[in-house]
Amino acid sequence: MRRWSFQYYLLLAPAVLLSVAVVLAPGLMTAYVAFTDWNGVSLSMNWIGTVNFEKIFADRVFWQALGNNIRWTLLFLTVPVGIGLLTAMLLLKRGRTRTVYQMIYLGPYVLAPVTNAILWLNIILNPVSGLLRHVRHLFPRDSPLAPLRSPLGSPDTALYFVAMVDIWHYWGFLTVIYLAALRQTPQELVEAATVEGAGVLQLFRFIYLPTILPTVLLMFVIITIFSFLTFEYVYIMTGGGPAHGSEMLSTYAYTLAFNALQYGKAAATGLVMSFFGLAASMFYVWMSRREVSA
Amino acid sequence: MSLLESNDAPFFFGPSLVFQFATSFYSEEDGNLDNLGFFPLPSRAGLPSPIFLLGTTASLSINAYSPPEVQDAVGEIIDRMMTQEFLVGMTEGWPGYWGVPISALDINLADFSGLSHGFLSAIQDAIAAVNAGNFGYSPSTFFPPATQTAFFDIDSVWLGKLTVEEFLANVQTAYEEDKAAGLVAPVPPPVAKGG
Repeated sequence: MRRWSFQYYLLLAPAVLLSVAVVLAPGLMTAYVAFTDWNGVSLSMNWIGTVNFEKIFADRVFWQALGNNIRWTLLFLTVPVGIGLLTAMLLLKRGRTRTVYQMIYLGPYVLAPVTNAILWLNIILNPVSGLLRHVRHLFPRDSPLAPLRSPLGSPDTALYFVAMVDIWHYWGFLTVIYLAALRQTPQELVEAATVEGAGVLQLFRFIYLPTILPTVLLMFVIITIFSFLTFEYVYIMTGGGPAHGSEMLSTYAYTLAFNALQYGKAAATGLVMSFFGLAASMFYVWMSRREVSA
Repeated sequence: MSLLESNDAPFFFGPSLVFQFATSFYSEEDGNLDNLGFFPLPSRAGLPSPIFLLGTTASLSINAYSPPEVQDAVGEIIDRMMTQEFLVGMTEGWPGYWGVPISALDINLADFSGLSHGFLSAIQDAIAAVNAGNFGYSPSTFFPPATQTAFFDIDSVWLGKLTVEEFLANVQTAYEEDKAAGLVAPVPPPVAKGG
């Protein structure tokens, strides 16, 4: 018996060691650094208690970034979910073309974020060679539309435009996930409801939605977690600007760590970000348990 | 640069190599080249004008441990780079980056157009100022990390999100933090004239 136990531990060891090395150790290190004045370069760090948290909470940019993260989350919990559900329902009745549509929809999702972001920046928004320039030149110089500017240049529109690009890349993935879930709906239920005279909306509300609800809720949690971690599109397209208009907690933390060399504050911001992810994860666990016990 | 082009920013602090980023926003086709100019800072009454701040951010070196023939070849490349021919040739294709330090730039600016004209004009002014002794230098053009990051927030002032006083207070706070953390590089004493 002891020999088997040893073998079990031996087989578990690689996974445990890997998790400790790449998840637990950096996580604990980050939590510790949040309470120090480490600059990311120095060989020494001093314990300064909650000073980093006090400083970031007193910084208006932090609250702006948090507000932007919440806006971003709300956008992602509604727009791509709505588009994904709608397109999945439309594809459900499709025959062989369904696969073709799924492949097309997944196109932006399988491209690297940096490719998508650069594509929008250079092909569409570049003021010299992009589509924007050509649209500008369609209007005479005295037209009110002549000074048409990049939406990334205004703090009021930058966040929404970057979110639009990210949603453009993401909704196809949700379509595929929702479609897979919708296909699990028992056909006899659909047929019975149809015979009883249920319309499209009633079919969705009373037959399909209850079936895919666990998937929808799981995607809600995953979207919430990823919305608080979102980084690539914002960093590449605006760097969080202009005037912090599209600043997210992730770009705020990145700037603190790699530009200002204030790793302590960056780690404190990272812990705040983790808190939201943790809250979403706990909600999911609570929901799953309730489902099991129901 | 985007804010400058859309007239939302009145100016942009940056070294002359920023001309290379202007290529995405200013062109002859768009007819907006006249909206972009370069002026050296600092500028102050009582000092000769223009006075240029030279940032020595990099050095071109030859590895003493590399084989002699490699050293000679690298020397030839550096010699080639430190010429008017190289500066002008590179600028025609890539305006803004290759402002190599040469002591004379004998060109007719009217022969150049677009951003090459603006960049070569700035370099010609810089060479004249340096030859007249009207320059200062710094081992790096960059502020300490947190201070530099605070300066980047200038667009918040341009876009009305921050007052000048708030902006300067943020810069001051960041500088004090950098200084307390020992991240402010010592400023080298000026070399006595003729020294």
